[in-house]
Amino acid sequence: MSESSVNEVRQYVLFSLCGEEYGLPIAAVRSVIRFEDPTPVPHAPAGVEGVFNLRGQILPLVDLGRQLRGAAIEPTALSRIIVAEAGVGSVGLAVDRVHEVASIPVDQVRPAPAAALTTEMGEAFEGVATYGDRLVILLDPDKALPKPVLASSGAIQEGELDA
Amino acid sequence: MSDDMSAYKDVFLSESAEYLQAITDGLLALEANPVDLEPVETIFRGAHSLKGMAAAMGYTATQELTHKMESLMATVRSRAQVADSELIDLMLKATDRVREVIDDEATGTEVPAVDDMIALLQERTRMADASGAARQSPTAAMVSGAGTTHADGSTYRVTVRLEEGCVLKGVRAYMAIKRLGHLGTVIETEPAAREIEDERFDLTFHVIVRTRATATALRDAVMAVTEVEDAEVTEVTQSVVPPAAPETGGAPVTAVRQAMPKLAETQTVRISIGHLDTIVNLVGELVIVRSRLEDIADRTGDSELVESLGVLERISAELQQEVMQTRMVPVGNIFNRFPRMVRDLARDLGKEVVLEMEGLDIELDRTVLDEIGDPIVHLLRNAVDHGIEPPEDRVASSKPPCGTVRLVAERVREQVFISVADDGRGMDIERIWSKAVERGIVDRSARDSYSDQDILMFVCLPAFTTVDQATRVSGRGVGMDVVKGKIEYLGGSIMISSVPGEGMRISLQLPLTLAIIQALLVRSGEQVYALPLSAVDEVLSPDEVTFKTVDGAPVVALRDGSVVALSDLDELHGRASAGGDDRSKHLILVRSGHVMHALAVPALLGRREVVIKPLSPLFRGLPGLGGATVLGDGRVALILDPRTLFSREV
Repeated sequence: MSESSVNEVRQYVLFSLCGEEYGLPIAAVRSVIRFEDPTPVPHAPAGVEGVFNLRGQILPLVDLGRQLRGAAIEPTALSRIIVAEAGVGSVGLAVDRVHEVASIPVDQVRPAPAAALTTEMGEAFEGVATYGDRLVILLDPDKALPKPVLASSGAIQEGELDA
Repeated sequence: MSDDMSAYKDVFLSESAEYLQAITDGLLALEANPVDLEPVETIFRGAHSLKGMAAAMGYTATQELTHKMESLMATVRSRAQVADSELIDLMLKATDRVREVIDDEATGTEVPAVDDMIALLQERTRMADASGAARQSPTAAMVSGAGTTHADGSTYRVTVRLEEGCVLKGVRAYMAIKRLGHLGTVIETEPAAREIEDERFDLTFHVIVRTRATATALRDAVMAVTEVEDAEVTEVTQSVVPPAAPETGGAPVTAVRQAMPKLAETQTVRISIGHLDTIVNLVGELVIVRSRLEDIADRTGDSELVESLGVLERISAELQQEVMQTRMVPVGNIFNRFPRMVRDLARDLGKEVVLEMEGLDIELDRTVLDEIGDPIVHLLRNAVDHGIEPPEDRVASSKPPCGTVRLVAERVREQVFISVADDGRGMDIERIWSKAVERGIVDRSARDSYSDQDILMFVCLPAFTTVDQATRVSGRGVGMDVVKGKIEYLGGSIMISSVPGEGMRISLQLPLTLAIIQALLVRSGEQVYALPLSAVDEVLSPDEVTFKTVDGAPVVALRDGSVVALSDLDELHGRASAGGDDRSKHLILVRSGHVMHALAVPALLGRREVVIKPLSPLFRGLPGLGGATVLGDGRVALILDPRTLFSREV
């Protein structure tokens, strides 16, 4: 029963996207809900499909298929939205389906293959790990997200007032 | 364990902020009227409580500083020295230092030495010892016979000695204290009641009691208790409590301090804003579920369900109102830092200014309140820096040397007005006018078509300032336009009036809440959008206007002859105009800043009260959007921001 501290184990939420399996650190996952069609937001950053209502909170929905694989997911009864906590706050990530929570020993994680790193989203991949006979691509939630629109905001920023 | 400490730390931080505010308020009140020593109690108690709390947290620097502040105030309280403005200054600086030190100690960063401040406080405390020793203030006067009786009673210190060999010390003491309690209010005992109960005292204990009864009556009451050897009653007068009472072997007389009402002892609880926001969200969800149930009831026609839903509707409406009410915060919460700011500023500028505040209990939604602090600071700075003249100038124009700035909050129906008025020099309308002409904002010949009010509003234009030399305080010309922008962003407006030589007044009109707005719901394609009603001027049907183009850009000519740019909601949102022809759409006249725009929308869905929810930072910088709201059916509608809605099209 006792786990030696050398073999540190991390927990990941496993999900699939276009036939491949991915993992998000469990600490970054707030909840998983059924997929629902988002309300589109005009001129939203590429990759952001729109917004959806999570118990009164309006959250952006990112299609991870489009974001990571260049192809939007096809919503089915199994499609899910993973509500994740990232640097920009809570974000919904649309995925094909969600599997289980897996404990993966740190020493099982290997760097992502160089070929994967050449793609634009390469830095989103924390590494790959084998889980049973499955290959899981581990994601860094912050780096897997689209970047905010960078135009200057119309709202008054703090500190703009004459001090 | 560490979690426990951090929980205490949060409490400590919020409470210490309150005490520091109380000390500051007390110091300012004392400065205004050094003869009235009542604020001294507040300051003393504040410093004392902080000291105790800091000791409990192990914040030694805070503890030491507040201890020295307490000692200094003790000398003021005993009238051993007068609270002149130097003393007040020193105490204010010490208060600032405590605030910094608390921050450092709480975050665990290294605390810079406080020795300098402690030395200053000690030095000032010693000034009292020098002068105070000579005047040997009359301390607790011995009362043997009839004690003086005041309307609200007097405070006595009753020293009770039990007989040698008394076997039931605790019981006897309890009886004595109880009897005293019948005659008045027992404020404190020495040792503490718990210790007396446990018989952890020698033979003597003290009871501080406030009563209208005479000293003799008190003594008789105690002497009637068996096994009491002797009782001695002394009157304690408020102003003459020495730092250390010689009679009691150095034990500080804490009676008066304890007798004062505790700080902020009101029937309130602290709730984090996060909880409130969650409750507001949940209530919103409840309303949505209710409307879904209503749909089902409509379909099935179940009368019992319909009836229950009627009740649910009433309850949820009330709940929503109550919850919104919990978000209301009195303006006093942000106003309380202004007296100190105005005082410091006036001193820096060598001016005499009194800040009068009114309507501190007027409540505003916290979202509005959070936003208006900075604009008000700016207006106050302007009033002190530019409005109020130096004392010599004021006397020369036969005004009192001390200027007055009034900050007033008033509620008028669903609006709150906050005004800043001063009795200073006012604004020179002709000077503003010539500046505007100079800047090419207006044509000199057009003077007659501008009212004084219009001209005063020029100061809210970007980079417009009439002060040629920018001072450290204000006058960099990046102020009033930002203030105006912010107030308008909040859905409010700003008004300026001025009488040259007599002062000026800037009035801000603000909505009670930002969280709920009246909106016009419109539809473009499948999507519903909410347009704030405050920006909607008029809704026209296409046959009321004439469609034209100017330089290729679509415009509409209104019936009064004016021409406004025409935008199509479909196109603004990157969608091919679904309705095809603008002539089949509704036209909404939208005010965007000073400019009017016509917005063509395919369908109007009506007016609705909507709860504004913020959008994710991922959308920051996206023009035209002011947030989002959840519609009755659970769908999300985007809220349009008229200020930036039209900026995208070129």
